[in-house]
Amino acid sequence: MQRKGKRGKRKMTEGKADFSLFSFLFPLRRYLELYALFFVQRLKIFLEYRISFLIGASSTFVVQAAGLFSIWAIMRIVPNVVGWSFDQVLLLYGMVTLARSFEHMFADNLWTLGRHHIRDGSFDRFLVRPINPLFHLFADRFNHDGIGNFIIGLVVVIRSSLALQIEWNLEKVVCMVLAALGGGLIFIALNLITCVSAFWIIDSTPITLGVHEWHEFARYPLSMYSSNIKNALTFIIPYGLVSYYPALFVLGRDSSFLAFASPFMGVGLMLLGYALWNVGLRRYGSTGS
Amino acid sequence: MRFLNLYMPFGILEVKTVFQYNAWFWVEMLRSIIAMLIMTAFWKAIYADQSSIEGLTLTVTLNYVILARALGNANASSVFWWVASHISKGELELQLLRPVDFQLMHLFRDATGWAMNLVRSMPALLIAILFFEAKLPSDPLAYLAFLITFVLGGIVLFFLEFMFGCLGFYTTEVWGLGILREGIALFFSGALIPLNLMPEAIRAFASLTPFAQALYVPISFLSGVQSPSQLGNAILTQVCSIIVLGVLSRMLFTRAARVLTVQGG
Amino acid sequence: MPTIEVTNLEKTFSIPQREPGLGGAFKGLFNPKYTKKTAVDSISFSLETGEVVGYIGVNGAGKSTTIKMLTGILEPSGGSVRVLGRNPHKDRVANARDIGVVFGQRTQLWWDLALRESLWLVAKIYEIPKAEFARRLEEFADVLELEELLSKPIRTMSLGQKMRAELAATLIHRPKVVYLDEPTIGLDVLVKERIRGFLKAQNKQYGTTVLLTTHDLGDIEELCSRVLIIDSGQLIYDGALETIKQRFGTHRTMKFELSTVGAGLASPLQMPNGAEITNQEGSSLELRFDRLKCSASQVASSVMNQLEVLDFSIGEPDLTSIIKQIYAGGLS
Repeated sequence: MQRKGKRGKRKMTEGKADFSLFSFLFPLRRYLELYALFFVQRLKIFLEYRISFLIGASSTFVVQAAGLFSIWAIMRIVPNVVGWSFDQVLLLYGMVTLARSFEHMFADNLWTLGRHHIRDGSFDRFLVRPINPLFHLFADRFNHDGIGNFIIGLVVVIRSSLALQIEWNLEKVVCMVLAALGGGLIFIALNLITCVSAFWIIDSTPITLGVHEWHEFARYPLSMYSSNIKNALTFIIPYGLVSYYPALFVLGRDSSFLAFASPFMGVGLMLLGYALWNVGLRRYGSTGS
Repeated sequence: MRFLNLYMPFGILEVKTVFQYNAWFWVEMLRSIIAMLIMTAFWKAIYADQSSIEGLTLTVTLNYVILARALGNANASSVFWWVASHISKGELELQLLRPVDFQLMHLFRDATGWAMNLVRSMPALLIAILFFEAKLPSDPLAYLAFLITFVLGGIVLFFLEFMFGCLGFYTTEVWGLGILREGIALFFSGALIPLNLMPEAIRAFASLTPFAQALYVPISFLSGVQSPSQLGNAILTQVCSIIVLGVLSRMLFTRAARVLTVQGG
Repeated sequence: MPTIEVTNLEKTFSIPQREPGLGGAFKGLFNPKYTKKTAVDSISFSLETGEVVGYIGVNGAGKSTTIKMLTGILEPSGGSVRVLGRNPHKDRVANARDIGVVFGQRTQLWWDLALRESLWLVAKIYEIPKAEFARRLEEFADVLELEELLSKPIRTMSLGQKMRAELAATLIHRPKVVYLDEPTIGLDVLVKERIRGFLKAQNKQYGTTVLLTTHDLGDIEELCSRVLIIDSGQLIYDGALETIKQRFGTHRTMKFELSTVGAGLASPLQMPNGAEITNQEGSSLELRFDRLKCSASQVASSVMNQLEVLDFSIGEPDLTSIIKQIYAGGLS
């Protein structure tokens, strides 16, 4: 009897299928609109606090420049690391920085989930609003400091590809764009997956940091490391997909499918992260902390 | 024996705090290991075709960067963040009312922090020695040189940080300023590469900055980049820096405190 | 159908037990032990549309936990909650459209944004059309005196200004149900008055159902016709404010004006059982008596027999002292 009842219910929703097929577009459109609005409001703050904006954006800029400068200083004397020139290493560095900037700009609020929002209870406000709490968390604070990373990443990638005289074709351009966007997703997803632990342990920063830190490996050619580390960076904490493999492809050294793997990995990890997020939300609903 | 009696409690306390924040403890370990893995791989690749660069061998350079990673921030000052956080909470005026010398109080607070940081750095140092071929010097003079320049460098850095902190009296943008300052420090302190490998002009300038006084100088003694015979020169530079920065920071503080009391926060 | 219907509502938390010391911390890592704490224990009540109800109890009595279950933040461990016919936890998003919540001191607004921008964001989240938003803003600006605040970022506001801003943000989408957790805590008298006036007006005009927790009895006396009292998770009173006074206000005060200053008191005053002198100054005398043990006339005549009385009055039972009594466990 019960089974029959269920089937009957499904049939009813099937009747509406052609409508609900497109109905998901309405919330999507609404969310995009909302995001744009949140973004514009943040922008107004920057305009009001111009100095803060400049200091914030340039601060990330200077930190990155320090790292780049160190590499330059040494490769000025020794122009070759495991067969990679300075400009080639620069390309890797720029690609990682560019991908990371998306996480820094759009998902920085994740870092504060436990330490700030869950600990002091301000997470509640996301739950009494009629929008998706994760979207709300993301949209709530676009972080302008990330713009500094974005610019420096972009400049470094362009500069190094000019210096390397890369012969661009459609495939290579697509590869670079996908690497940046997919890479951004990988950065965000790994942070989401680790930050969700805040629902259990409140301060998730150590865990997030412990995983996030692995991206520094990807600033250099993976061939520099032992095969264990290389595999880990390809399949487990896949920051290698953000820079190394796409760079190999663009430089014409290798045409492995891994060059195009970052969007797939990014989407997959995002789905995993979102599933974990929902588990965390359920726990929050039963413990309230 | 007396030394042990005096310092054992600190050690026990430190072990306890380490276990209290065990998540942070492990993540710091992990970060150190990651950094050391990258450094080792990078420098081995750099030295693949040469045995010495600018007079430094692979062993010495690796030793330097790894020790810098393990110990380099031990004499850092927390006064800037302290001022920043108290400004954002609006509690700074209250702190200024305390009947002690504000600057001296913080110097002492920081100095206790350095000792704790050294203890806290031990696990990372142990990892560096056991797994990453870092070598501590056999010459006791090198340790002495390290300790003296470590403390003096810490004082130099303290005065500079204190001046940065005073900026917080004028602007509320202390967070961004803090990161900006960290970037500059990373640049000039020699935290990433020994100053010897920098281009001559930059090196000359960098070595005079408080950042290098606090990090490059002590670490270079401990790692063997500099020999203890250079100690006299190093101390002279550090003492001069302390006098200049000490006077400057004192002047700035007197003015900044006036701004604060006039504006009322 | 009642707007809010709560039946046998229960919430238990498992709290991990930590043993002291290093060994304890280590054990807790692998074999955590929990103790159960019942924050809300089988509570039932219902609110009709347009009711304004005060929800009172000491800190930790279970007020906030109840509100969190009503808003859908927490899932009940037992019993059921219906708000406007919905299960607020399961139907969280739909429920959120129809409710407004103020969490005491915590702001739901954006720290750095000017209030007008903050409110516009809120309006967009609740999909309020622009013209409608402008109209409501004007209405609020009047009652809450928001005009001067609209261009101010939240972080520069005083406590009272923040709460006014908060209320505007909570009611801008004209919710059918409003939960207020300590809306007047720490505010001065004038701001309290303004906020109470605003809530009254909203309730009257739109039939908004309001549930508010407060420690300020002024809020209750001015706004609520009905009061729920919760004590260690259990609902110990649900009824009219007036009845509370009758039922729990067993003590009354009586004031006498005497003809002679300090006269006639050479010997101690004889009192009926259950009455006592609370204050005696010059020619005035104050008594407190338990009306279950003796009547007002007994007390009055006893005093009049012993002293020359010019005038006397009986005091109304005072809510503050009743609540104090309840908090102190005087009811069980």
